[in-house]
Amino acid sequence: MTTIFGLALRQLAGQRRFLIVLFLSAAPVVVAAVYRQNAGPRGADYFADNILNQLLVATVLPLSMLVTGTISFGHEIEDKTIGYLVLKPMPRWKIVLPKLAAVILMGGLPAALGGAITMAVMPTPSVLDAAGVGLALLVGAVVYGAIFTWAGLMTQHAAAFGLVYVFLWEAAVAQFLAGGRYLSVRQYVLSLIDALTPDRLFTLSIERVELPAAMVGVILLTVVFSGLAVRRLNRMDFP
Amino acid sequence: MTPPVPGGPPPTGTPPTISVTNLSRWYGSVVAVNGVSFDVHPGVTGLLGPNGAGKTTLLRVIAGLLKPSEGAVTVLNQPVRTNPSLWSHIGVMPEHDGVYPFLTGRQFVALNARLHNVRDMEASIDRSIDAVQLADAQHRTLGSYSHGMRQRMRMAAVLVHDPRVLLLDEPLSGTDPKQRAHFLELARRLASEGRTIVISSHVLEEIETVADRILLMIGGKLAAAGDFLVIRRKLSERPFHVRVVVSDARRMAAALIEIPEVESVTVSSPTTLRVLSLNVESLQRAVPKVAWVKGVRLIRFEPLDDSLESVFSYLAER
Repeated sequence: MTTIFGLALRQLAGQRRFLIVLFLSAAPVVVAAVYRQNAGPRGADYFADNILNQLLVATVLPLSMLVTGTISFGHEIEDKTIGYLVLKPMPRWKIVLPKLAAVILMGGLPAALGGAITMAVMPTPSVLDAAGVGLALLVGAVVYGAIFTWAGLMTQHAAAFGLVYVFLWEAAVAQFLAGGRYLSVRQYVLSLIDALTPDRLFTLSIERVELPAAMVGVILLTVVFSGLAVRRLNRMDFP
Repeated sequence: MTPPVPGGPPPTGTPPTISVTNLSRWYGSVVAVNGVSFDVHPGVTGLLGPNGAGKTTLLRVIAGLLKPSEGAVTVLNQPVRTNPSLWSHIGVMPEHDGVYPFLTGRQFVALNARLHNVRDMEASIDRSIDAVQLADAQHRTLGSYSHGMRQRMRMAAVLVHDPRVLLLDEPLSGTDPKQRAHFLELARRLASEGRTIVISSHVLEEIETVADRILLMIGGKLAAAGDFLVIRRKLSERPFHVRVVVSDARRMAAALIEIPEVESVTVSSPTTLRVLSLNVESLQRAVPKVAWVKGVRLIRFEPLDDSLESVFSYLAER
């Protein structure tokens, strides 16, 4: 599996679209640094909570994972190189898991680091906040990674599917549909941040998913979508 | 169900390496392969047909890359689809030359070796790269290779796990004559070691020197199958139109109609004849003799429908 993991890392790092991930991850840090230069500690918590909720959790994390997740298999199919992986004497989960790990590392790690650094450069920095936000974003990256890796195998229009998912389901439907938040990765991440960082999100009045439900959701969606990706790889026709 | 067509005389008592039974594959309303049945035995089998005949689809189904819409395929007596352990024995070289451009040739072959759990990996990689004569370029990235070099390094990757069955889709495309000759020699050597090799091509001459048996695909169907010489004879016995340019067309026509090789003669102009023959090779020998006997100067002898498509069409109609 390390062979495919290494290959997937090189593939993702070599994509121009990977620059989008780096840009997205750096953007909140820049915003926080500019804020720190121009504003004092007053109102800093409210600003930090909003940047966390609106920018890091709702935008940077899902878009970073969308980019890396969908190109992971999408480019193999587009470039017709996937045959080199599937025509080998090994079960398909041994292809999906290292691919997913690479997606999490290349999409989730920059987003998580970006989130942690953003918290660290705020006017009221806290190591606990930074670590908690980073960890929660990384957990969210695992779920998004599984969803978008599966999407990359399902359709050639995975990026469009992902955008609809992020901006329609996560940002709208799951917020307002009764019980919808229990099927929202964004809500799981907020719940984790809430649990890991005592000083964050208190300025926002968000109806949050309970931590146990969030953890179950994280595990369930990750397992289900990883399983669906393996199933798809077992059944699909290859170019 | 169409009965299996033997791909030439099998070695005594040897079961077929590849068995295709009543195989069809369609994409929506387009039928790419239509009710094809045949067996393939060790040796080199040429999968021949014009572009769009269904060769690539057929090879991809045999390799397990595509599901058949109907029918069945077994390789080494096992179903190939969703049977990963079988790929230890199969080497597939797809038609397209998609590669990982950032890998060096050697890294690419090593990747395939690792994924196949090849023992004695470095020696296997060296052996396969030497087999395609690319040792000098092995440390260059694949992105910097010419098409022909990529084809050869892809072949090295196919050989690295020493497969018993090789499925090669248009492996000679983009190669120069020297590379082609070397490749055919390699294929012959691999076949002589007991492997089963299927090579697809749309150019008969490309594989005629290496293939023991031919599967001829036309319009998704198997038009002919069997020993290469039998197919070749069928091809040479088909009716040919030939344009013959001479100094006196009428005198030449009167003489030609008398010889057995000629079915009919049409005088197109005072110097041009159109001759229909069932044996063009024999006609080719007879025409200069007739011209000499009749004192007619032979200016040109030109087959009119010698394109591969016309050959395929002829066999498809039979």
